[in-house]
Amino acid sequence: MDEIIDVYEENKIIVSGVILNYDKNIKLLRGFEQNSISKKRYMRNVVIMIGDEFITSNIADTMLFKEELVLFNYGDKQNKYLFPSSRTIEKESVSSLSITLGDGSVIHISRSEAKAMVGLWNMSLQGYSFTRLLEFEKEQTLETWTVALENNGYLQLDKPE
Amino acid sequence: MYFVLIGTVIIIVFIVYIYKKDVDDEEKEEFEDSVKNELVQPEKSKEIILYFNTDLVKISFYSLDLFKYYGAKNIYKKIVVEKLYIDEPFHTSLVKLLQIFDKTQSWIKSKNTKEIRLKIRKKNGNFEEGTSFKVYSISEIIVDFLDNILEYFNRNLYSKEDQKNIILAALVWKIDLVEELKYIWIENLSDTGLREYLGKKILKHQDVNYDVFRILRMIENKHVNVQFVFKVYDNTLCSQQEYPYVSKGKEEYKKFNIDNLPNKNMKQLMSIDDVSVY
Repeated sequence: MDEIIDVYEENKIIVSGVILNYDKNIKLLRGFEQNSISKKRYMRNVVIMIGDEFITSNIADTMLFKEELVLFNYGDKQNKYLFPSSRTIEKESVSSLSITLGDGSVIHISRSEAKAMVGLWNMSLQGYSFTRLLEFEKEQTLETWTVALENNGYLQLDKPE
Repeated sequence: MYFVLIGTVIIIVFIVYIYKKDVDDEEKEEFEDSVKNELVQPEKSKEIILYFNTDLVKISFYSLDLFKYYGAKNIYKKIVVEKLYIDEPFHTSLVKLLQIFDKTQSWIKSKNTKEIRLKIRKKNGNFEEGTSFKVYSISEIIVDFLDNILEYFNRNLYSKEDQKNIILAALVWKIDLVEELKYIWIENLSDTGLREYLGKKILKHQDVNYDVFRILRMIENKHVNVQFVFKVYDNTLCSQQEYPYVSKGKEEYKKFNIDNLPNKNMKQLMSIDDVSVY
């Protein structure tokens, strides 16, 4: 019965980020847990981060964010995160999705960017099972996220990623 | 005939030479003996008897249980026990200051940290907000700071009095970082005023010797002679361990109203003048 039992396995979260858009600095953070015996990774949390700010914090909100991206123009004021808006660039009115961050800055997302982000979202979650994510989604607190971010180097300044 | 004459002359010269040589050798020996007698005069070494004060001296230290962490204990050993700085106003005020910095849990923000704003939904649907970043622990900073100052004293010559005053002044210089002490913060004091106020509360037995506050003022004005303090402090910050921290809004320390306390003993405990209770 030789077996490695990691007491703190439950609390260890491996955070890996997928950059959905470089210019707007939009990331998809996935929190994994790793089984130390079978070396398998299970996804336990999916979160969207823009700049240095968390936008969503669980799978339901993240799916909502994605669907708002997919709908683009067809969305309306019932949207939660992304609101369709129009602005003029070189005397030409263009439609885009806008989101205001906590520090007051506004980010506009064009149609092609939205499409690319959705494509990357689909690609980044391929090969993982969603059953564990849906059944045992880890309820995170501020403290656990802070420790996880610190362990994976997201609090370090100038991380090349 | 000539041969006989020349032979006698040679013989005479030879005899004279031998005689003279003997005389010279004797004189030489006599002279050397006299010189030797003059130089070598063996003296009996004097016996010196030194009387030391062998009376028993009782030195009283504070118990190390006063301190929580080993860092402060080591600093106390290095300053007081090894260097024997047990002059009374210095000794107690150092212990008071060390206790304050030992037990504090306050922090300062790290230089190489990102601030990430977190907004997390709980299971009941409510949101919880906070910002996460990395911090240094102040008690660790102060312990390393004092350690490096002592190392600097070993390399450079400072008088005993100056060493003591610089140590106290350096501790008082950083006392406004301690958040827990702010319950005795009266109204809006400037940084220098606060330091002076707290310093005089804690070093109340040090009033006779104003050198501590003179050096403190030199540090605040960045005088040339105390530039090493800034260099040492910056060096200690470079090698500190960072800890993750979440701040949920602004934390405020309310000032405690002592008059409202019902118990007399509690009033004594919380009285402003006796910071050493802290």
